[in-house]
Amino acid sequence: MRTNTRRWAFSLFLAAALTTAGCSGGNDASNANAKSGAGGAGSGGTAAAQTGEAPDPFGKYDPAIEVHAAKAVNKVWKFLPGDDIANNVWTREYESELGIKVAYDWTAEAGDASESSPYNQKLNVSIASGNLPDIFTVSPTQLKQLADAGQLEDLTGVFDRYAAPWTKELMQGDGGISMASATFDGKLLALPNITANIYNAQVLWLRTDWMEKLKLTPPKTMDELHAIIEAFTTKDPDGNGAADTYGIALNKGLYGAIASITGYMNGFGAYPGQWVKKADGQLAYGSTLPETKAALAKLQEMFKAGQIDREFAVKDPNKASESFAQNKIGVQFGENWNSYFPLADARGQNPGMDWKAYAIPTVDGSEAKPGVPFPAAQYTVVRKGFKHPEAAVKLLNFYQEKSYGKTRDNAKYRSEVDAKGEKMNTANFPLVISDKPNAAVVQDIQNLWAAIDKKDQSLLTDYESAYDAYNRYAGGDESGWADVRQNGPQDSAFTVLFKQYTDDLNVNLFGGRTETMAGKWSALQKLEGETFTKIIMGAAPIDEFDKFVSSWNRLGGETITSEINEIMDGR
Amino acid sequence: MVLSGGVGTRIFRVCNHIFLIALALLCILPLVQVLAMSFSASSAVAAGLVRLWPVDFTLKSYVYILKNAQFLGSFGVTLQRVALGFLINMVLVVLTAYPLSKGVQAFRGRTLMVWLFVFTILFQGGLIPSYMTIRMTGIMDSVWALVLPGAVQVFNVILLLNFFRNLPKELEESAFIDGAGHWTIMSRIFVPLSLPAMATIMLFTIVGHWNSWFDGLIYMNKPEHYPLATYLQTLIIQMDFKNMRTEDAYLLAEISNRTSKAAQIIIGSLPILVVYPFLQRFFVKGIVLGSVKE
Repeated sequence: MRTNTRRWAFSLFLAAALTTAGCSGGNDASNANAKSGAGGAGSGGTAAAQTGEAPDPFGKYDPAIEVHAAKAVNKVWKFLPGDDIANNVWTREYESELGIKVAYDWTAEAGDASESSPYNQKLNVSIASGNLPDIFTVSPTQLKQLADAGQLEDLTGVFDRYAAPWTKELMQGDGGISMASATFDGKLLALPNITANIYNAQVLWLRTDWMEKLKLTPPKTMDELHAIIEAFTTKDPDGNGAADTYGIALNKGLYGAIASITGYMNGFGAYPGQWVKKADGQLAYGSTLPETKAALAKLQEMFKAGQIDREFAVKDPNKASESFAQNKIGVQFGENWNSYFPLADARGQNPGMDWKAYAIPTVDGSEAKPGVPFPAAQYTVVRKGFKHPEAAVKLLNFYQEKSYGKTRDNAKYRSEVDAKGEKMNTANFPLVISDKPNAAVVQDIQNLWAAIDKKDQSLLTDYESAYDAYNRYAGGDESGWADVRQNGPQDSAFTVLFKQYTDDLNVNLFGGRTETMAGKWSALQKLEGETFTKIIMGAAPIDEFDKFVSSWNRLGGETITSEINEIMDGR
Repeated sequence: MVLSGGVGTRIFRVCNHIFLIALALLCILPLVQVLAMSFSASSAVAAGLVRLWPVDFTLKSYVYILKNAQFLGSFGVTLQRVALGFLINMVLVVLTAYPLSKGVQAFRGRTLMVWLFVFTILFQGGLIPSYMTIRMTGIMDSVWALVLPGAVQVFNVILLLNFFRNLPKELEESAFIDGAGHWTIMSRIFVPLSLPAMATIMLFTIVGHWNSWFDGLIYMNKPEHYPLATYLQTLIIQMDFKNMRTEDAYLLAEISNRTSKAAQIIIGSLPILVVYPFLQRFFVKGIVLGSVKE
């Protein structure tokens, strides 16, 4: 009996220990983190402030330091034999040139970059459990969250002192809006990953073999575009005798990079989904402005006339793309790389098919002003308490110098070729990335075209692969089609972007997250998508738009708008 | 089988069959289409021409899979996980269920112990505490992080426990008289007699381990260590086209390759499809026996 009791008590103790193990573990973690955070911040901050003269932006650590990091990766990336994300040209150069050893605590698939992507889920768990790497990349939502929680190292001082002149130039190349978005209460808490958002300006893709067949000319005005859409719907452009074609392709999400309404709306001077400046200088949400209503009314009219696929509301971009290969669509608004996907696939199925990119037409035939996203969608941050916050700036210096600076070496840092001649894009592997703003990109493209024109490869400052593809295509090899339609010197999406969109772009002016947005933004976006889809499909009259605007404002839109205006006034 | 009754019964039976067949087709057809896509040319798939039969038959996708190191690696992780997890789960389930199936006279704290186990079904630590427990035990990024947190499947314990309780008490008593101890009774009498229930639990365990993907995502530190289900999940989610870098344009051809995705989904679900029918006959019988003899 006695032994029985003792055994029983022991089992009970074990079971209790099991159920409470989670809780006690949690306390330890947050305590440990708080302690190391406080200690580290003190020593790191003073070390940087004590040295007098400006330090070397590329100075090597001796002995080498170790940086714990996390990174979003993509399973389609290719590496040289024996290399991987933790051991490649970048990590080796980091160590030998800068004395920085990068140790990846973890890596995860980048996925769709939404909140539920593998990388973001893993990072959210990391953040919640107080187990942050030293240097890592975050979304605007995570940035706001970490900044509010005071978990990020202030980079104001180290950026000032350690950033190379070239780095500073590139980081301010977008007019400074990205750097401003990484600044909270006057403190720079992150390094924005700037992209050249001119690449995201939409173009009009037209099926040119159909245009020739029906003797149509490229449109300058929206009315001319509507005439083409009507002709493609009613005049049997595929010549099979059946009325099975539509005018224009849409996808169920309405926006996006393929079969999007964004480019179409830009033609009306409407900028749905982005924050634009009104005449009075205040920011407003483009989806709620009257221009959007006008464009929606026209889309509704086209849907009624059978010029839009009746089932578009259930087709994602992949599904909508099938209609290109099925010879059902000849007009779509999308991005410059649509020639690679989905148009190249469609062309593989239909050899006579050809597509070319044109500038977005406008109502009055003037030059279009396409809308583009905020230049930074991701930010590199440093954990509060990390002893060497300047390492992040040095890594950024190194990336921009080796990729775009005077000592750039594209054959090494942007693409390597293995023994079999297979190309791999090494530009994806660095830990800290921020790319060229628009101005620098324009120069590269012009150099590419000059090189093609003069047949002189030495003029290139980027785009080596595009140069090769152009020569392949000119030599009769069809596999260069997608490249040439994207970036060739004539009739390409890039000629549209860089020669025809010469006016200022209409940039989305706010890329962060406000307090109210955290709770209400997804509901507002859902409301927007549902209302617009209903209006286009004729399930609701066009005046439903006014009702949408007032409920949008009531459900939090108004608060968000004033929050954003307040933030922008403060900058 | 009930013999045919009146006209009403017959009409009902016809309708019932039609309904069930439609339901079965609803489940099978998507799989058949994925199978057809995996054997089709990629341009035909991109054009949406593939219905239930391959168009331009090719084995290219399967050749591609055989060369895909990450797919094969993940397959290996899953095999390892299923083997280890299966062993650990089965041993622990039997060892837990046996004592808990005894009466209060033999095991005084039995009721409380059962409640403690049931408690863990109703209340769980949640994601973050579990994550921290895994991290501090130091099994992060290893196969142990996938098999140890779920080592005792309480639902299965209760299933088996109920089955054990319904075995005739006389068997146990006579064994005791012949001098057998608890170990002998458990391993030589209870386990062999509960094969139907065991088969059911085996199936639950194998399918559970094969399909579980979220723990792989959270506990593994490298995509190369993902188990197959996690890998397949990253395969089917959409790529982010927003702010895509131009250098990546060449990747689009690969990302849009739906035939190879289809082939990987087929290979990924094939083993479990094969196991299912063999264990299923026990599966039905097992649960019915376990509950009816109550």
